[in-house]
Amino acid sequence: MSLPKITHLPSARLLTSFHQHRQQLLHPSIAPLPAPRRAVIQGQYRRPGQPKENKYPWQKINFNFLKGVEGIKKNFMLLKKEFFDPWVGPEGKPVLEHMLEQNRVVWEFRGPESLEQWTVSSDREIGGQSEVYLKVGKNNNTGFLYGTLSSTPPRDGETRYSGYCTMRSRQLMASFNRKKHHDWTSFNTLHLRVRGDGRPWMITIGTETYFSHQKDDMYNYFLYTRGGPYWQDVKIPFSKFFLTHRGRIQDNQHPIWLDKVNTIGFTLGDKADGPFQLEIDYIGVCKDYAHTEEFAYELYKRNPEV
Amino acid sequence: MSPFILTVLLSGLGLGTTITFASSHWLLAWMGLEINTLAILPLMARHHHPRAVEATTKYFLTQATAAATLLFASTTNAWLTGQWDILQMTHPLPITLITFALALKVGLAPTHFWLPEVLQGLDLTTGLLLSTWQKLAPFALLLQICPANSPLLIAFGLASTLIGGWGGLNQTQLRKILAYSSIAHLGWMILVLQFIPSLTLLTLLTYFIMTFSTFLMFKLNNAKNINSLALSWTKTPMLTALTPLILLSLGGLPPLTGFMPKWLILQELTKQGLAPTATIAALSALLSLFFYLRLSYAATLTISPNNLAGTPAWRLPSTQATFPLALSTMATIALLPLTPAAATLLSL
Repeated sequence: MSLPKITHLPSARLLTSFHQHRQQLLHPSIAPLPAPRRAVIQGQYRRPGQPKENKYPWQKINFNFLKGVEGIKKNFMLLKKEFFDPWVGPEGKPVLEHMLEQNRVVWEFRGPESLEQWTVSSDREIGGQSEVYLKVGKNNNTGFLYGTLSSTPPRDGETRYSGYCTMRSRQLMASFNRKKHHDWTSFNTLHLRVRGDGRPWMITIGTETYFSHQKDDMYNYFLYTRGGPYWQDVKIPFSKFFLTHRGRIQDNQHPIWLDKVNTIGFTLGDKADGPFQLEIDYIGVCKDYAHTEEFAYELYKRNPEV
Repeated sequence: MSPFILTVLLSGLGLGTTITFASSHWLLAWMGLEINTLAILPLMARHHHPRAVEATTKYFLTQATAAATLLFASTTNAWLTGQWDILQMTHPLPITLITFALALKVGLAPTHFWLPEVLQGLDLTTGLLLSTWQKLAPFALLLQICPANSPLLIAFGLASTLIGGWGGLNQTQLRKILAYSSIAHLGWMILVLQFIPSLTLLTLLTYFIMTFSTFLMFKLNNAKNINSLALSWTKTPMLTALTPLILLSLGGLPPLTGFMPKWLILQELTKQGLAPTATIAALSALLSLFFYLRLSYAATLTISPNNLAGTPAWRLPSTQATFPLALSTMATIALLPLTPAAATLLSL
């Protein structure tokens, strides 16, 4: 007959760290802060990819008078521009220019300040091992998105698949941090100049939504890149974009409305581990007069009455 | 949409307005307004597009708020005066509250913020219904309560004309332009409400005819922004010749019909000793006129780039019935000589 199992005693190391923790709570101003401490806001589950909480909330505040003054100046400059632009015409351009506009470059990578309009992320946020970086390419002329894809899922017990990297543009802001949208109603085609490595990318356009459950609604289409030293001009009509939610194609499809476009993004998730790179020269929109398709997919009625 | 459901909804719309017209009790009037609101909601969300659903939700929330305020005001009136009769409102507090509620229902400034977004999310037919039919019932109530609160109405009127003028200046989307045009016209209607209510009714009906023509014209051209309106010369050259006349009538230029209400209103305001108000209203009409002129310019005075070097487009002709548009266009352009008859009817 085996002896009953001894209940697991907390290890001595745990006891001493708990003791130190209590000491710090009693004398927070005297004792110096140790390196990673247990979650400052106790009880919050920290996902595997998130960095550990190191500071109390009040230690994260960064009061800077000059930054505040710069912020006020920037906002008032934007407000002045917003006030005086309608005097010229709609969207700040004379109406003839608005009517004749056939091409517009919306994002181009010329210099490090153009990188501020973009944000990159990968599955490192959920605990995966992909890496993604964005830098300015040679001669400050292109944007270079590169990194390594790794489809090893994070070991958190619930994620089965992983391995994605993405780059997304930031939301346009008007004065005083109000959202501004791109109005692409005069155009019907997305025009990119890219140089990829042969991988298939997904272009995602995010429009303005109203309800909270539409937060992850995206309009997607594929971007098949050719590898090779030559640049690739890609023209994708907006009628080809289909609606997805959290990556899943929806049954109820409708064409994208271009009057309130917020963001554009590029996602890679082709389950092929290894390095990747995508060089982008510019992203623009153009009006293709020969393209008359309104929507590329069937809008058939499910359960039609007979 | 199934024809049966469409019939039910349109009958509901008609019923709601009729109930409000025929009612002398506040609760019945409120009921008519609610029936109107609820009947138009499925029509607005018909296409199940997220923007249409968003517009429907915003419309429902604003109209429900307005209806609740109306109910509250009529209850307050019943409490203060002991009766529910619409024509017997005497206490200023319920009158002011009801004016606010009806201003929110109709889209007068400063409660106009929902109108451009809602109209932008709808298709042109439902937008037409919203701009015309849904204004009848609230105006029926406004005409009956005859608010004597002069500064409030003048403030609403001037704010609406100014905001309607300035707001439309930066727009390229036609439905938003029509929303701001609606706000401006409602401002004109409210300015004269306390002096000659029947002139408000005349302005409302003239506005209906002009908006009806405009919406149908945009629908025929399938135009939702300035650039697609600029292509109308390839599709319907005859209508394109009449387009600037319709738009300038909305802008209130003589010798078109739209000048008639503006003229009579300015005359009445001056007679009442409100010359500065009349001046500000006339100047703000210039702002609105600017964007109507811009639309006319884009439609008729330019040859916009298109995909054909020659004239009529290969696009299939529209299947829309043209008789209503023809009738309302004639009414929009040619009714100014009837002003003496209108003035006599209004006993001006």
